[in-house]
Amino acid sequence: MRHKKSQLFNLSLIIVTIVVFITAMFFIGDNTEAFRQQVGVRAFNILDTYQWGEKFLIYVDQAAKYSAFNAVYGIADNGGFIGDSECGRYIEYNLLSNADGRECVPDYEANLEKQVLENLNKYLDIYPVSEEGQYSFKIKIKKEKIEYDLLFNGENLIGTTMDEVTIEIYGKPKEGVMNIIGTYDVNPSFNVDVGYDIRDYDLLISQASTIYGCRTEKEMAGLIECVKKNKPDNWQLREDLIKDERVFAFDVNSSYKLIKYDETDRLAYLRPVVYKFAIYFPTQTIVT
Amino acid sequence: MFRGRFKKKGGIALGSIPAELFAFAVLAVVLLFFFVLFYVQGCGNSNAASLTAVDLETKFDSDIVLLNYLRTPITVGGVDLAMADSVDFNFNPVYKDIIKGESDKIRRKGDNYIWCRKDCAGQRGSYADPDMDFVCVADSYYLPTINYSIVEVEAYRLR
Repeated sequence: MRHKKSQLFNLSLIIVTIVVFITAMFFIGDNTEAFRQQVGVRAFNILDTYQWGEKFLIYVDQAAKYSAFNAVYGIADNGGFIGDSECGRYIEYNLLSNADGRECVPDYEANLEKQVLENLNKYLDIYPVSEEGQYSFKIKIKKEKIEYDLLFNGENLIGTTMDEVTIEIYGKPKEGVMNIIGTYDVNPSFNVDVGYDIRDYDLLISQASTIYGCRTEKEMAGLIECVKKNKPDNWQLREDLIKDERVFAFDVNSSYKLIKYDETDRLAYLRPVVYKFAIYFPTQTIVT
Repeated sequence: MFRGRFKKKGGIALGSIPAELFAFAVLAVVLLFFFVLFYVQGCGNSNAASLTAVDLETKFDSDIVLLNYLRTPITVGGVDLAMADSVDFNFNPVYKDIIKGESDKIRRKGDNYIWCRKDCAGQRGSYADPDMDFVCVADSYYLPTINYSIVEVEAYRLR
C-alpha cells in the first residue's frame, strides 16, 4: 500500500466496524424479548388466529341455521305474519281473509328475513369475544353489528355482508398495557342448508285459494261439509274452534322437519313445521 | 505521530509490523469478539423452533379434524343435519342412540375422534363406549344451541 488515502481506509474500516457492532449490540439489547422468542412463534400465532377465524365462521353457520329454524317456526305459527294480520285474528289464529271479503296474504319472505336477522343478532351478541389463545397471549374478537343481506335459495339460506370481524392478536403486555401485535379480518358471510324451502308458502296459498271457493255455500252445515271435502289431507281443521261465524282455523303439517326447542321438557326435538291460520268465508263479494 | 509517518514513503509501520497487517488483525479480533458476544446472547434458542413445530402440528391437525367432524353430514330421523347440530340432542334420550350410531360410523371411517360438550364432561361417553380411553386433543369450539345459549365442545381422540 503506497498511498496515504489507502492507509487511512484500514483505520477507518476498523473504527466503522466497531461502531456498527456496538450500535447493533445496544439495539439488540433493547429488544432482547423479541430475540428470545422461539423462531416461528409469530408465524404460528397467525395460524392460531386463522383457527379462531374458522371457529367464529362455524358458529356463524350454525347460528344462521338455528335463526332460520326459529324464524320458520315462529312465522308459521303466526300464519306467515309477524304480529297480527291486517284481517285480524280469530282466537289465536291470524286471518288470511276477513268478513268483508278482504284477502290478507302475508309477505312471508320479508317477514322471514326480518325474523332471521333478529334471531341472528341475538346469537352473535352472545359469542364470547375475549379468550386466552394457546400460542398468542390473548385474542379478542371485535365485531360491531353485522349487516346482512339474506337470500333464500331453494333450501339454502345465503347471508352476505361487507362487514368484517376483526380478531386482535395480543403480544406480551408492555408496561402493563396490552400490546396489539396484529389483526386478522374475516368476512362472516354464510351459505347454509336449512332443509326448508320458503316456497312451501306458495303451495299453501294456492291450496287456500282452492277451498276458498266454498264461500258460495250459504248454509253453515254445507260450508263445513265443503271445507272438509276440499281441504288437502295435511290440513287439520280445528273443529273444536268452529262457532257460528263462517270462519275456520287450520293447522297444516308441512313435510319439513326442523329442530325445535320444547319449553316443557327443555329438550330439542325434530318437529314438523306447522302453519296455523284461519280463513273467513264471507258471503259477499271479495275485495282484494 | 502518524502525521510524521504518513509523510514517509512506503507507508506507516508499527515497529516491524506493517500497518495493513495490523489493521486486518484488529479487524479479525473485533469480528471474533462480537461473534462470541452475539452467540452467547442467542444461546439456548437453537432447538426451540423444531420443538414448537412438532407441538403445533398436532394441535392444528386436531383443530382441522374437529372442524371437519362438526361439519360432517348426518341423518337423524330422516332429516339431513350436521354433526354440530347434535349438540342440541345431547341430553335427549330420543336421539341418543341415533347420534351415537352416526358418530360410530364416522369414527370407523376416520381418526377415532368424538366431540364432547364441556358442560357435560361426565357424560363424554354418551357418544362412545364408556371403557374407551379418550384424550383431549384440540382447542374448544363454541356452538350455538336452538334456545339461544352457547356450548363449548372439545375434540377427543381414542388413545
